[in-house]
Amino acid sequence: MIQRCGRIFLRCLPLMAIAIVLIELFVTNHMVHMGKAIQDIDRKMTMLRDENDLLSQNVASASSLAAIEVRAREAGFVPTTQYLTIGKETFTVALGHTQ
Amino acid sequence: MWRIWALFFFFISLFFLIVLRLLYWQILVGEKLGREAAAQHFLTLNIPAVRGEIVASDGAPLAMNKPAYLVYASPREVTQKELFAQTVATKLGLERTALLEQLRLPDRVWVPLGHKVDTALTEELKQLNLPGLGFEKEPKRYYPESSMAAHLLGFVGSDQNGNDKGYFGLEGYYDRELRGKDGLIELEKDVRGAPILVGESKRIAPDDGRKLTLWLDRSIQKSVERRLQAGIEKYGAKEGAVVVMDPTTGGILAMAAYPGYEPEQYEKYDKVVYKNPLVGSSYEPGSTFKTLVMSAGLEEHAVTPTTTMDESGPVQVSDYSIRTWNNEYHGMITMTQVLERSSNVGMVFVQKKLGKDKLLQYIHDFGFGRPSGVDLEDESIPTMRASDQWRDIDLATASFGQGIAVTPLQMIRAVAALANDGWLMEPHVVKQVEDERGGVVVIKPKRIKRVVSAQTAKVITEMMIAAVDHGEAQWAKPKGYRIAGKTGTAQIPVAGHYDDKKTIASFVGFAPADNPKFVMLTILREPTSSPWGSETAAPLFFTIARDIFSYYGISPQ
Repeated sequence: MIQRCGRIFLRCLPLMAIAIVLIELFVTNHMVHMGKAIQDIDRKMTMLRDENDLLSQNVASASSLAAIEVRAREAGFVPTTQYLTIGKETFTVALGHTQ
Repeated sequence: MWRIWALFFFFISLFFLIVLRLLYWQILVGEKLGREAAAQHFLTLNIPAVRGEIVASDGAPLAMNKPAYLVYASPREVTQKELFAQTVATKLGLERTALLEQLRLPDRVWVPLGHKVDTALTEELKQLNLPGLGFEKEPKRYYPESSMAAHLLGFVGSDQNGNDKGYFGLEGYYDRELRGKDGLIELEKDVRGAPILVGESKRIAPDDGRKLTLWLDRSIQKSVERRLQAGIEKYGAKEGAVVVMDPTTGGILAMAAYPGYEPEQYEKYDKVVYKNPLVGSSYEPGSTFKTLVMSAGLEEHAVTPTTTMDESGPVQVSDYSIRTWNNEYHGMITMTQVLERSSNVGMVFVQKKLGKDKLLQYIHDFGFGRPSGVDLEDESIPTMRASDQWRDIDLATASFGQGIAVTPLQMIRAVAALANDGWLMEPHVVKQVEDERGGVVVIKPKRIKRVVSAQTAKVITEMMIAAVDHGEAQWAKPKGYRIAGKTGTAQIPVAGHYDDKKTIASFVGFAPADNPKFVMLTILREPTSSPWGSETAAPLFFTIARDIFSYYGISPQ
């Protein structure tokens, strides 16, 4: 029985070798073509990264104090010319006094 | 027989020729050919490291990168050279004939057309679809706040190889940290140039530049710059500078100098303005220096605030007669009044009580004559004369801040010690350094030395408060605040003598005096409305101080 199985295995061996070679050829060929796809993905990644950089730049420009100042002026705000500070002694009502 | 010999020598010669040729290929040019072969088989890409950002204390970027491109031509691929030159030259502002000449050179394979061309223009060029026109990413340094803190930041230019390099300020000092290290990717490629996945590959990841977080506060910086600009115009000064420091940490909160420049367009400005005068230029501090000499006198118990001296006229030192700034004399006055009235005669009294060795020791201990350790590229260290070269007159004039050169940063740092219980700190611009993997290195505040005791610091603070409240600049002081400070008016040495009309007006002080949040130095060079610090630099100081009080929410005491 064992001898029979061994003989069948030996007969199948060349077929198996051919199949492995064919699979190897197919996979390798496929992977070689995948290079182009990888290149496309890489290009897209670069494009997105560039877009991200550009957006970061726009955000930084828009949130700069100079830009905020311009917008504040446009909205009608004016620079402070005088500060008024209210100290405890200047309150017109007593604080913490319960009667 | 001779035919056999001829054939023999023919084959021997052929053999040697083959050996020589192999020697040439394998030994002499083997390395070069190997490289060329590798270039044919391998696709090598440089992965440039991204230059690190510089951000303010609130995380807002002060220096970052924006996308830009290197635009180039490959002359061999250009089909219509005339049309190419005409179109590209117009877009990039180049000389058409010069470009055409370069494109026609037989051995040129690559012609750079524009460096760091912005994205909008690059997009326009890409739309043209010109054969032979190529683009390569070449990020450009971008400063969102434009000229803000230009002297502090520095700028990015090119080195002799055309690579980015930081110059001046932080860009120069931290260039290696900001620049990072380029990476490399090497892949086996097919005939079309696409990478072969199953082939050999090598990848060295780039080490991006580090991010610097500063002590600098954008709001204070903005206020300082706006007020300085207005002050320069109002007082007709030639130049001006302001530095604000946190006395407890040594962190620089704001630093501005006029005239300034825009780091992104540095090439449009005179090179003279690149240097940061607050760390790179020296000046004679004048009366602001009196606070330091007085604190030394107090620390050594040579004087107390109530010690009296007779200010009845000029004091004679060697062959020189030292007068008060207004040539007015008040008889018996206390040391507090010496500071209030900014008496030169009174300071000579303190200096004599203190003695030469102690005075020189304190000048040294307050950090003069040696580097401050600030993390900025352009620091200069005005040299102090050797101790045996100090004459009596030199010691006398040094007591009121003349005949001694210091940098503004050295000066503010020394006064900051008085606001920090006597501790001299190392000034720092950068608070922390962060790498791309999120590793953070916090630069801890560094105490250098306790120059005077906490008790002396308190006493001199009270004397400086009195100098503000009762001195010449009292009219400009914000009401209700306790501000310790001192005015200074120093004459400018010109060709071995002092110019009577040209002065450097300054004011140094800290507030709130009982728990200082900031120490500030304002300097105006050659003000024309008035030569005095009390009428120019002091009001500028108080105007900025008002803004800072409002910003920090500090109410009058």
